[in-house]
Amino acid sequence: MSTEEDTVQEKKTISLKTSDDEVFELEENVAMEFGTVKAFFGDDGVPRDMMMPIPNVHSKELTRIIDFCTKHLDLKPKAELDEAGKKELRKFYKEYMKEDTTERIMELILAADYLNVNDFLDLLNQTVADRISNKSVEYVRKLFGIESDYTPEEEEALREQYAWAFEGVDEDPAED
Amino acid sequence: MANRNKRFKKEEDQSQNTRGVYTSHLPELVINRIVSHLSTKNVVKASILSKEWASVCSSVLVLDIDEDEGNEQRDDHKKQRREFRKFLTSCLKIFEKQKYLEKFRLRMRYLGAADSTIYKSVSFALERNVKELDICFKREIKGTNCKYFCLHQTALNNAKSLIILKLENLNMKEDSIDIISFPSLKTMSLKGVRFNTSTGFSRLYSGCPSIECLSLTLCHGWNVRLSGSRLKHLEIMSCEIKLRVEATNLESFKFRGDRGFRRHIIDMHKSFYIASCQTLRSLEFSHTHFPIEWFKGLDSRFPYLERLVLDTCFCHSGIINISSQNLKSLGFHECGNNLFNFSLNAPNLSEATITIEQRSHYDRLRCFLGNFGSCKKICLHVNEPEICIFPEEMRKKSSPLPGLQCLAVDIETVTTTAAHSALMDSLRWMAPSLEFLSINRKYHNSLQFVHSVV
Repeated sequence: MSTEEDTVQEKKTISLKTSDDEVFELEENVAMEFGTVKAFFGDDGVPRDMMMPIPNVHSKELTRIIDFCTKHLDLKPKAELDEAGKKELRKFYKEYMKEDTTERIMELILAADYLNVNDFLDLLNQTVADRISNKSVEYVRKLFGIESDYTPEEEEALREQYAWAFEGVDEDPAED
Repeated sequence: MANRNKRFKKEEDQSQNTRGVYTSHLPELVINRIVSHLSTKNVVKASILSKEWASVCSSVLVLDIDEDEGNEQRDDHKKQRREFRKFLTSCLKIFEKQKYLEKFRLRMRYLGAADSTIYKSVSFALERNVKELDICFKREIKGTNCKYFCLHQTALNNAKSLIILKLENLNMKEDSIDIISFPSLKTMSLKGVRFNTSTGFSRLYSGCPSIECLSLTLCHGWNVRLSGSRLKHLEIMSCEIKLRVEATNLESFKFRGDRGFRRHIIDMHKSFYIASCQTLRSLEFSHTHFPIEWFKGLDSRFPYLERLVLDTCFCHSGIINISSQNLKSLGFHECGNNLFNFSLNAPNLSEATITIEQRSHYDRLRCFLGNFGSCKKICLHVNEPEICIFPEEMRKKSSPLPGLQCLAVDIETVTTTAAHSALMDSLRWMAPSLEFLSINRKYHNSLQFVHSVV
């Protein structure tokens, strides 16, 4: 055992290695927000200074996930204290994904899913859902590259049966 | 699960619009999660995207159907209503195979028809062990002949799994001598609900042994007695009822005294009795008229009180005198310039939210603010900045808030830059030890945040 344990407690860090061979050092409390990391190290057993490979995550996504978790960890306890804190957390959720393209969000979903970052996943999924809500079927098909396997007659029949659901649709956005 | 980790790639050389086009297949798990955040209207739409999407869509656990969703632009109301009813019936078929539902929410207008479809929806949800049932009928404000949906209580017979029940704008009819049992119900919220008998609500409530949160809004004419040891949170908003609360573990009580548009202030003393709730931690009153001695002995009646909100309340005698040892948080919205007659003795108060609408005598304001000397954090809402721009002569006196560390000011009306800077000067005198100040003001009809560290 190293002598460092006898000295003043230093901030514990965890190292992660991404698919593009970049090594990130995170504070332990942030890293433990990742379910996959938490499971990997467990309560004891695997030593914390061992580098954990995350071959399915690119550094670009990891940077963003770390950013979310750090900010989220800061705001969450304040939200439990008072109304002002709750308001700030709500505002954070509202604004955080504003600038991202849907494509970017899908990339983040994959990474957050692999790392098991539930809070971020919830926000990402909600953001995508909000973006496809009230949009035309054609727009959503194009967005996700979905090929319809319905015949035109089948589709027409469904549209007629659930006519109410197809009313009040927004104009397709110019670009995303 | 091998699909999970595929990366999305953009096809640069497609002839169509290439931005945001995926060629990789969205994994089913991802589709499932996205769909679970959609309203039912959008879920049904999404089921047309492809047969795979249809399969994922038919297994959602939440049905959230709102007749007014996205339909503000439509003129052909009759056709829209017909189509909605047809849609509601179709929904019950699409999701028929689902064995289990977490939540069923239905929000629609009621115009005298569609009773059987509504009943079918309720039983559909209950058969699938739904945990949360939320049925809300929109009230037509302009209609003179307002029809109310009548719910027979036996329709809620099969509610073993129900944890949350919310009903809005309907009539409840007791059609059985037996009491309907809600063994798992923890939260009940009734708004604009009418019973056909005077004991209707009491009997409904007696079938809920596990209830923890109760909220009643715009319910009138009842004689309510709430006892039991499970009830923790109680909300009575704009109701004209006789209330007696003897719940031994009540933690929070929220009360609003006015009835809709009329400022019908309910006298706390006559109609309401909550004196024996010693476990109360949070009290919130709005538009309430207190009898003279109501605030006396607050500490002995509510020894654990931590949070108190008084919003547009007044006291018969005109004086509000609060003394509470454990109080940590206070909310105060003035009413008719009652700032003058307010005194506070709360040594452990650490945070306060104060709303002031009118300008008042600055010396009185200084004394009023001095009541909050022990606070670390204050949120101040004012109609115009002039309300707290103390004149120069006044600033020779001692600061009302010497120990304040954090101040957030919200200004309702448009503020000029000159007023803003005068305000900053005044605030610096008001709270010389400020570490964090934020001013939120309207500037040319838009909100602008100005954060600054003093």
